[in-house]
This record gives sequence, C-alpha cells and structure tokens, in this order.
Amino acid sequence: MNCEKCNNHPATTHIKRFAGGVAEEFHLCAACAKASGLLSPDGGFNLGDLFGGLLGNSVSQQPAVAQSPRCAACGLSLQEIAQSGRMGCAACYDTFSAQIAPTLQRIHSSVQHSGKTPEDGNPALRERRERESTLTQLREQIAHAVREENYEQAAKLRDEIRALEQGGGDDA
Amino acid sequence: MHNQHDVVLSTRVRLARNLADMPFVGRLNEPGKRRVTELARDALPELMFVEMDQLPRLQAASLAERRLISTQFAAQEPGTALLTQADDSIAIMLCEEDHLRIQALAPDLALHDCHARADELDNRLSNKLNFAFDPQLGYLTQCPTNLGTAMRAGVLLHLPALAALKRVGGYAESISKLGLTLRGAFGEGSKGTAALFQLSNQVTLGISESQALENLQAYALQFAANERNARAELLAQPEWEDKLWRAYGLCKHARRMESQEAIELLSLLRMGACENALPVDPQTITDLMTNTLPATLSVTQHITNPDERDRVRAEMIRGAL
Repeated sequence: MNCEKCNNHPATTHIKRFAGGVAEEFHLCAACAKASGLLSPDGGFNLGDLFGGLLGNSVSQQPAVAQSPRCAACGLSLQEIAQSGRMGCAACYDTFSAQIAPTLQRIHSSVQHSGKTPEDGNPALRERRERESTLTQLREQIAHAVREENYEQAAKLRDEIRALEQGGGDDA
Repeated sequence: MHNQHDVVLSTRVRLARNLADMPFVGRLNEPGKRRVTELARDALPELMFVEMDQLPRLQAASLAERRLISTQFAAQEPGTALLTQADDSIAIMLCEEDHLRIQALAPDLALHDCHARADELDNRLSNKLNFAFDPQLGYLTQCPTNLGTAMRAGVLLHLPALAALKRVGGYAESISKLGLTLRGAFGEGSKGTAALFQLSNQVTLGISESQALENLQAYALQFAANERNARAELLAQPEWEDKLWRAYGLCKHARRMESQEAIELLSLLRMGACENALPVDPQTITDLMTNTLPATLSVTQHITNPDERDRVRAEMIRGAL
C-alpha cells in the first residue's frame, strides 16, 4: 500500500483512531507522517496537529480547491490553514465550510453541536436574539407584501415591527 | 464527587471562547491581544489581572507547575494575560490559543463543581462579550479539534500501581471509544512521570458537556477502583514493601535531592501513605509533590541558586516527615 498523502512511498505508519465509537485509519509513509505533524516528537499521537495534517491531505487531493479564495475577514487561505492546523477567525469557518466539513467529520464524532449555546443561562441575550430573528422575518414579509401590493397586510406588519422595536414583543 | 483523593489529585474544567469580531489569537498583533485582555478584565473586575510579560519568569513557571496555566502560556508572550483568584480555584488564560480559556480547578474528583463554576463565569462574560458561535459547529475555536462545547475537562490521576504493573496502556482503546484520552501529566505525549496521568475528554463536537462529564466521571471512578486493587496486589509483595520503606528512608534522611528523584520517591510515598503502609499523612505528600517542584520551590523559598535548591528541597521533605 502506498502513502495516502504523497502516493510515492510505501505507507509504513499506520494510525488507528477511535472517535465516538467509530474507527478511523490513516496510512502514511514515514516522511509524510513526520511532516504532517500527526506524530508528536516521541512518536505519540498529536491531535492538535491532526486537523492540519488531514486537511492538507484532502486539499492536495483536490487541485481545484487549491485556487480557493482567501477568507474575506482575515485574509487566510485554505493552504495556510492546512499548514498550521489553525483557523484565522470565526468567518473562516463560513468561508471554507465545504472544504473543512469532511475533515471535521473525521476528527469529531459528529458535525452537529450538542451542548451549551450562548443563550443558555443568559435570558436577556436569548430574548434579544429571538426578537432580532422575528424582526428579520417580519421585514422579509413586509417587503413581500409591498411587492404583492398588499398594503393592508404591509401596514399590519409595520405595526408589529414597531411594537417589537419598542420592546413590547408579546403580540408579535 | 469527593473522596477519591487517594487516586484523583485534582480536577480542571476549561472552556475556550473567542470574540466574534476579532481575528483568532494567531492572527492578532500585540495591541490586538491587549484589547482582548482588557475586554475580559473589564467584564470580570473582581479577579486579579496579571499581564504575563510583567511576571517574574519563575513565578510564571510555578503557575505552570501548579497546573493553573499551560507550559505554552508560561512562555510569557507579550499581550497575554491571566485572570485569577488568590485561592487558585480560577485561572482564565487570555490570548493563549483562544481569546479566553476559562478554567476552574479543584482538588479531588470534582467535575460537576468545576464545570458549574466555569459555566457561571462564561454566562457572566457572554452578557458583556459577543462570543463566536455557530448553531451547527458550536463555539468556534482557533483549532477545529476544540469546536462544539470547546470544553476540555480533565482529572489528574496518580496511578503508581497500575503503572508498575504495566496496565495503564491497556485502557487506551476503551478510553478513546468514549471520546476520552489518557496521557502523561507532564505535557502532551509525555511518559507518565511519577505515575501522574491526565484523563480528559477529547471529542467536543456532537457531545454535550454533561455527557462528556459523565463519561469522564465514570472512567475516573473506574481507574480509582482498579488502581486500589492494583495497589493491594503490589503491596502484598515483600519487595514492594521494602521499596516503599527505602523511599521513606531516603526522604527522611537525604541532605540533597534533585527534582526528578524527589517526585519519583514522593510518588511511592504517596501510594504508601494512602494505603496505610507508611506512617505519613497523604495530604502532606500531595502538597510536597507540588511544593518541591523547581520553580515553585524557588519562588516560595526565595532561592536563586539551583545548587541551593536541591539542599532546600531535601530539608523541606525531611521537615515534613
């Protein structure tokens, strides 16, 4: 078997990993295993660098992705992320969501968060977020009503938005 | 849950958080880092705020020895800072790998207590700061291995008997099936010096905080039970009884002792003390295991010369016994 990454040398480093009960296997040549940072200096498994190593692998296998854009917020490219194993900013996760999804799936047991959200234990924030999302919906509806020349409906929606904006969100 | 102190030395729960509208730490310059640390400081004004590059080097190293900060953080990069409390129960690293790493610490097995305290700090912070969060990916972190709950909970285990019987490695596979990891307590990938091991959760996305804590709790209790059995098995052997008393004799009479020798002997003494095989108090030994570490010893005893350090270390151990 040849190395999964360079495909030039025999795969001599075999890494087996269990995440959430799912077994994963990686087969690399000694040089790629070393370069990928998958192994810590004493030969142990370094998970901190696993992401970069795996992402680099998936990037090099897809030449089209190599020309992917940079993150508009921080300017980081996918190659730089693969090299460091670190994202540049929160927006990088949006920009490169398609490219990193398979690698995330391999590292974690799932790609759907289950657990705390910033709103938990923070009712004021929850209320504010909910109001913002209702307002966004109502504004979309009002634009739609105006396009349809349904002015009666638009007036009703406008009153709802005003009531919400003044903090009285109960009848929305 | 308490009273696992014969095996579980301490518990730490860490939550990573990042501000939504700032680049991650790797892309922040020094003024940017200072801005982050000031925002956190102002959100929790009752905590002590320490700029890491203003701290004497040995004090920073001592914080790492006491497991309040990472060894990486003890490098004192300009712009990094620590929010802490005099009783060492809270340590928030600012601009380590993430903007905030909120840590709650406690002796013994206290996962739920530590999580509750870290969670409360997180709630208070998120009232004032806008943390990067995605409904699908959870809390966004610089390194994608921490995505999701961004929670790393860990217990420090003392496993001298399981280590002596070479049984620690046998648990690795079943541990990883539960999304947990066991490593030597002195840094990633290190061998278990003094039979101290860090058991922590590895998977953070797709598993809730409470599930991860339950898995960890169950495994810590299992380790504690297995270690106790292994200790009984080991101490029934005459050569191990002899080994413990020899360690005791050395500690009681030595005039100079290097750090590595001390930690290994104290590890044996601690096992003997917890199993009532030696006439010493377990807590005394547990305290010595931290207080005789090089930087901590130097800071508390005001030592500047390493030669002096070995003499003072031996004296301190003799005095305590």
